Amino acid sequence: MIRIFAVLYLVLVLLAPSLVWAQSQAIQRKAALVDQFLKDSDTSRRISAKGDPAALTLLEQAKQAREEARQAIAAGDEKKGIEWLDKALKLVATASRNSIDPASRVWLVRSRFEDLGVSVANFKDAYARHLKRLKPGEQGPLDLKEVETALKESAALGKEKKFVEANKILETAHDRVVTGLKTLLGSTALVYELKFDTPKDEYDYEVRRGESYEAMIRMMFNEAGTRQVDDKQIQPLMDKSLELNKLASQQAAAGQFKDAIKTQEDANKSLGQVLRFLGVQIPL
Amino acid sequence: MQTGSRIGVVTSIFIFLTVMALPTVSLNAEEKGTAGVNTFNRLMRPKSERNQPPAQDGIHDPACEGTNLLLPPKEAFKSMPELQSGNYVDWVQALNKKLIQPRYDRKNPNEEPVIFELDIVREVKGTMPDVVYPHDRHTQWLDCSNCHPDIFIPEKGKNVISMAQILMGQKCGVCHGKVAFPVSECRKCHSKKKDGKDSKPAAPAAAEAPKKGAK
Amino acid sequence: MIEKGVLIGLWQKRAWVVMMVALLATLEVVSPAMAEYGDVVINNQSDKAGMRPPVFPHWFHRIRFRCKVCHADLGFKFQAGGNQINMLKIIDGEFCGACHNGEIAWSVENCDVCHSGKPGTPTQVHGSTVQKLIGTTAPKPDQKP
Repeated sequence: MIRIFAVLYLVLVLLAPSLVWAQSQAIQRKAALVDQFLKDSDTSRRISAKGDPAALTLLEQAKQAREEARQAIAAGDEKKGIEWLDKALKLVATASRNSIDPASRVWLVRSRFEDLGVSVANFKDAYARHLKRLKPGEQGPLDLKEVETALKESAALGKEKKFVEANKILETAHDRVVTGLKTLLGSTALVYELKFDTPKDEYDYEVRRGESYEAMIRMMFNEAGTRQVDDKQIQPLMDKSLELNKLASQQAAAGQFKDAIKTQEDANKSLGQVLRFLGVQIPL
Repeated sequence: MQTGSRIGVVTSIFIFLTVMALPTVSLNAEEKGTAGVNTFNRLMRPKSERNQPPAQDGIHDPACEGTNLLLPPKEAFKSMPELQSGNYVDWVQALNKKLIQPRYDRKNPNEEPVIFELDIVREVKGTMPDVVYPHDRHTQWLDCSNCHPDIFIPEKGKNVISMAQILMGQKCGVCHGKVAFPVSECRKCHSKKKDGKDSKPAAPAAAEAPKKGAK
Repeated sequence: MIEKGVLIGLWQKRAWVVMMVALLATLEVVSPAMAEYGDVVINNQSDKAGMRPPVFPHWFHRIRFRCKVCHADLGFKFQAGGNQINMLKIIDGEFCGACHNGEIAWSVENCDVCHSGKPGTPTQVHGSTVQKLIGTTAPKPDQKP
């Protein structure tokens, strides 16, 4: 009896059912990819139309390899079929690499142009803001006018869609600005102090923090489905935070910002406790 | 044990194991987000479950030929300095000790990165130590445009960051908690103790003049 | 094997061995396995096309290239499934094809090395904090990144 079970079990385990992707499916997919490139892609059409001899030769060789593969598969020799398909893919990739159409890369160059433009402008402004740390009469390491000229020139080139040239100018400007910032700031640390200009600012800060906690709780409930935590523990805390939020906004409206800040902090603490129940360690 | 009951036990074990051995494409606990309180806590993952080889890691298909050609992470991580979360590798240390030499340019292995050595200290409310953001470690890997200005505006007061946002994958959480070490280690970022009073800048000479508005 | 003073026969011994081996072998199925942190599964079109979804391992590439190379020079956005990648673009040398062309790294005919994910796995950054807390929330394939 046990012998029979042992054999049956071994057979079951060894077959390892799951989604078994047969060898023939892999060949079909590969063949489909080669066909898609040879018959239905912009690159192959461009190579055939342009007539670049080296690329055309490779394309022809790829077509031949595809034929050989077809014959091998028809004859039942899957191994040979895969070898020919691999060869075809290699040829196709080389042909394509050697005849890149710069127009197809425009999106990349354009996105680099946009990124750089915004970057340089931002860093230039940051540099200008930090100039006040120089002593009076001292000259900064960067010539801001040069950077502004570079930005204008590159913008003009960008309008004419000459992104490659524009990027060259912007890369140089970018290097200059970053080096300027490095020299100006040295290796000091910039301290972003938590000093609020007015109590209202501090109240707004706490409100924003509460909103981000709420958003997180909402996401965790809506998207995660059932949670393993008892609603009985969470609901009173959520209700409490809602109450305190209302109270805080009333106090803020009445101008009692010190109280409003304390109340909002308590509201946020309740939300923080909810997050802790949900498994997120937020310091309270 | 009697032969009869032994056969009964054996049969039931076989049935149980057979059911278990039928792998299914199922959404495991991670994908549903019901992983519970303890998954976020790094301490709950024993060393044996870290850095699983591809065939056992839960997302690679063990029935696929390619899976078995892939290098198991543990082999690559053997000589690397350890960290207590993420990949369990300290990538910054590994780079500084030249255990890895990743290229800064796709084709040129000799190009040097442009390293920006500026620390940003963000004061935080309460008793948590202030956050120190080191540019040098980040610029070893990233380009300025990766973060500025899309994720962080390079100006004081313009970036509102809360822990909830980071955990939800915004601001620092765009990378930390996805591909860089997760924020389960508070002290890695909250590293500058407040000296005495709250919100007191440690180095007044280096502090920026207070600007309008909160963080 | 002696159990309670009764000698167990040869086949029973073998049955025990088989069961123990099977138990150990199936343990990986019973306990939840953890993928390598930072692995990105991209399943925008794979299921529809009948291919396994590709799994991109950040750790392997991080050893060889800095973040800037892919995310600034090659145009990869910081979003799983947020890049419009298809096989023709790869053959043309865009995205993955910028290196996986037989020169810098192996070429495109090694389908299974990339396309090795379990069929049906949704697009995700595996092991991410967001995933653990909220679940797999990937942008829809035709959504603008």
